[in-house]
Amino acid sequence: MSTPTFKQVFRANLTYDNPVLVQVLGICSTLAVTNKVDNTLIMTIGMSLVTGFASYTLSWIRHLIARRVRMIFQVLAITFYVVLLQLILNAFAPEVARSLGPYVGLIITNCIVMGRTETFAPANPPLISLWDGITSGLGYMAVLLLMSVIREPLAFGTILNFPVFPPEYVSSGNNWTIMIMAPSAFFLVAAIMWAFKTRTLVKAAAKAGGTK
Amino acid sequence: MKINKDNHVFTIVFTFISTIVLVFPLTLAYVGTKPIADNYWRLQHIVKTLHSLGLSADAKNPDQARAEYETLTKYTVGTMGTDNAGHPAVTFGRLDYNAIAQDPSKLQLLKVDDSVIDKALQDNSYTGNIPVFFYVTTVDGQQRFGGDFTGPGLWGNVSLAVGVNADGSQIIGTQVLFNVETPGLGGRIGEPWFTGQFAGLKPAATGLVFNQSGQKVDNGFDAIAGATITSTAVKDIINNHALVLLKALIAQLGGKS
Repeated sequence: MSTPTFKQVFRANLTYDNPVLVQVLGICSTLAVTNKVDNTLIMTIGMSLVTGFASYTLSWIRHLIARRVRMIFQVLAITFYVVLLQLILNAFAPEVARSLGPYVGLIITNCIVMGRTETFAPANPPLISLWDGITSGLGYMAVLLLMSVIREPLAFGTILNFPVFPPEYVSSGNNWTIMIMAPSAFFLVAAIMWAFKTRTLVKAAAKAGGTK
Repeated sequence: MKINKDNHVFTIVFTFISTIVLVFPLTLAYVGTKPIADNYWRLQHIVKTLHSLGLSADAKNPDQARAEYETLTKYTVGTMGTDNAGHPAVTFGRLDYNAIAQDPSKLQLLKVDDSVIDKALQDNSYTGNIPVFFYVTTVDGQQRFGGDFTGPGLWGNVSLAVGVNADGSQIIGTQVLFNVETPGLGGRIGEPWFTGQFAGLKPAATGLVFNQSGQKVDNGFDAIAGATITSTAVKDIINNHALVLLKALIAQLGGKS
């Protein structure tokens, strides 16, 4: 298999090979962090960086890795970047670190990171792997941001903590409590997936019809 | 030379070297960033302690906050001993809340200076397992009592700073010193709209309760929707730890300046 181009990787990760909508990876964090736009942003930026650098490292050392301990090494490399990110946040952005609580540490178990370092990085050169990791993160970010932009106003009446609905929306108790909680993300992610799949299928059908 | 990547010796050597190469820089990064992180954590603790006692403090003006903090009289529960190296160190005592609730003299107070609190905070910056510290101050001739109280939340420790007036009948302020609760749900206990609602509450004999369906009561606060366990943890720490211990503290030190 030849190495894909940067453009191909970018397109694939944001659209027809999107990590959340098509590969259905990283769903745990999709449910957990999307009730606030700021948390979502920080989590997805951190996750893009970690996936990028972990893929880069794995790809760079791909000819040397002992096959029997392949996954152990992957987890070690991912953990390295996550802990580094956590230490940097703790020291230089403590407010952010406090508000994210345990989620930064949970990037380690994000399936997308493991998925890219296991499938893409061992088969491709470092630079395109770095790009693949970052764009996977962007694909993940695109879906999560869309969800948080729907969830935060309905849950708290705000976007990025700026009020978009009058304060009575929350104080009168008419806000959607389910949007605060994880289950609402199931409905949302399913709805987005449905819309996305339908569009892809319609496009594919049109293409098939056109070539007939 | 072609390496046989399934060879046992190669696997072991590879694992050793890669672990050392990755873990060593992390250790350095940890050691390098800990003082910066601790400094922030200490300053937050100072500012929040002062706020819980109704005193003004601003994290943007650390020197003033520290000077104000110096004037508080500080106590902990425990005895003075020595550590392994022979330096004086505090052995923190275990707290029997039931016994203390019945007999305030069971609270074994030890006057401490800032260095003891510095060390206790550094040791627990990642777990939030802060030992109990009490703060006593006098404002306009009236005593105020405060302290740090830690209890279990949903994911880890929740640590609160709680301050009360001279006879413990009214809460002056509450601040969240440490929590690792769910971001966007339980994690919201750290936000000002939540902590702000404790100022001025008058706890009943049984302590605080949740406001029911918008009916505000003198000893009630609003829980966070979707974060029942965290909200209950806050209520329990205030009722079962903070108010019990502060009551005993007032019984021992109240009226003395």
